[in-house]
Amino acid sequence: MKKILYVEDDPINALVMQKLLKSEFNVVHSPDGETCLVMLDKEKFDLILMDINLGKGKMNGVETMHHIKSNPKTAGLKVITVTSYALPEDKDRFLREGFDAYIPKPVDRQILLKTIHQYLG
Amino acid sequence: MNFFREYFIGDLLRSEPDVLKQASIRLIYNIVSTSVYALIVFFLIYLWKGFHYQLIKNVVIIFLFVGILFYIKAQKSIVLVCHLLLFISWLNNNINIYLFDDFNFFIALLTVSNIIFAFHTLGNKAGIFYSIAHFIPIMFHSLGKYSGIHFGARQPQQLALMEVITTLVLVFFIIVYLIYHYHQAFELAKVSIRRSVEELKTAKELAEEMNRLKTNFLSNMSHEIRTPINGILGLSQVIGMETDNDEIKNYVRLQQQSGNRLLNTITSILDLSRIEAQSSQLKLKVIDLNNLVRESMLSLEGMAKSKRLQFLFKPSSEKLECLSDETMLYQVLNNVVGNAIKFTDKGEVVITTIKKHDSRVSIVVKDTGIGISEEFMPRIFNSFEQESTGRSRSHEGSGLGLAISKKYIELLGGEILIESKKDQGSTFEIVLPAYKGQ
Repeated sequence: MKKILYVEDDPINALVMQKLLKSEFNVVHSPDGETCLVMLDKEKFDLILMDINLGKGKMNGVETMHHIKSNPKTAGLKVITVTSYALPEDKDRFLREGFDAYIPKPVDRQILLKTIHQYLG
Repeated sequence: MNFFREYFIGDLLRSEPDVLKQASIRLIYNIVSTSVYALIVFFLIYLWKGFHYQLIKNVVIIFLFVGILFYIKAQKSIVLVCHLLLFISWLNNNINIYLFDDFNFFIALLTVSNIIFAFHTLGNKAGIFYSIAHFIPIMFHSLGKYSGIHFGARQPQQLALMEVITTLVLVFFIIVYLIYHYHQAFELAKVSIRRSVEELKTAKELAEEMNRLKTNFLSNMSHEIRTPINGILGLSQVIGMETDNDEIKNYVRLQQQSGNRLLNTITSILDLSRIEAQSSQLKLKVIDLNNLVRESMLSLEGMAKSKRLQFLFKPSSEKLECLSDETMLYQVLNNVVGNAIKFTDKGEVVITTIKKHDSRVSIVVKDTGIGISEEFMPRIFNSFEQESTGRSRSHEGSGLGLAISKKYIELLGGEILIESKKDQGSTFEIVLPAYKGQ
């Protein structure tokens, strides 16, 4: 089963993601950007789902993604943002920042699965 | 002197807010009162010299001028007095010209002074009227003189030094006074315009700042609403997955429906309140209308199929382009086409793209649905309005779609035209200015 790292500050939303994907993926949760980078250093993941607003964490989702993409060890990982920033212009904004895909919250399981499979190749 | 001034024009000055008009009032008072003092002196001199024509003129004018001061005090208005003064001065000029055939430098100066005075105290129309009234007799006299016609051969009865100097001083005073006050008013106006411009600039900056705050607030609002809705709808999907109980699965489906409806309403309200802020940040690019329609149809195909409708596109054979904001236009198109499908239960929804003759392009969405009644038509673009509201409401929706669409299309420089007959279907036409190319 492929392993997905989900960076999300809200525990309920983290739980929702784990439960929605549990039949197909092993979802590991990180509550903030700093933890995410530490975990990436130790473990191998197949894909990253990234919230943007990471609450009390020092880095937000965009900064964390930049760190991941600029580290040669993790640069090849696909990073998909799953965010509540869902105004019409937000999608373009995040894709321009460097995310590989954009999924607005509230998430729909079908769209979620379709997008993840597409980026897992 | 101050006692007389306070007595005659004190109240009037205090009731007049306009600086320029105050100046006019003071000027009139000064002219009339100085004239009265001077005329009293002249009266004695004329009497002594035995100039009977001037004496009669003098006595009449003294009474007139004293009467004028009382009139100003009683009526609190100088308009009639100004006309009267101008008329007297005009008459005086013409008496000199036509009775004594004496058109001299002072008459000319008085004429100039009268014209400035008329413009200043009575406004442009009266100014032009008095200009003409002063010009014509002088012109006529001059023409006559050079044609050998003499008007009035009486010997001029002038007090050479006395009258000349008084007239000179008075007329110069009037001219300088008027021009000085006009210039001062002009300087004041310049300062106040500069101040207004600065105030406007500050107000504009404030408005822009408020708009930025509003945009931020709405964006945060949207974020804070979506996060818990993700929890609610996400967990509801999880429950649906984990249960085998059909009843519960059905409840979950209904819960999802309600949740999505709530989400749509909130999104629409946010869109509607963001329109002002968005007007300053339109992202214009060249859009291929036929492609846009195809894209939009892709996302609505499922809905049309589930209602067993024919869902057709008849693209224009030409490539149609317009310079527009893609996100907005897409949203409008989705709204209009979505409505067509929503309000049509059998038959078809047909989309055509047309190049119009007036360098505009349009997308026409025609359906065979329930149509729009004549009574509802004027309110169709209002927020939160649906034709069947209340308990009989048969179609879901917040009633915001068309309100947003109309505002978006207006921002994009186009319009939405509607034709419809109740129970026979509707035609919505989205008209946009065509892109003219490089």
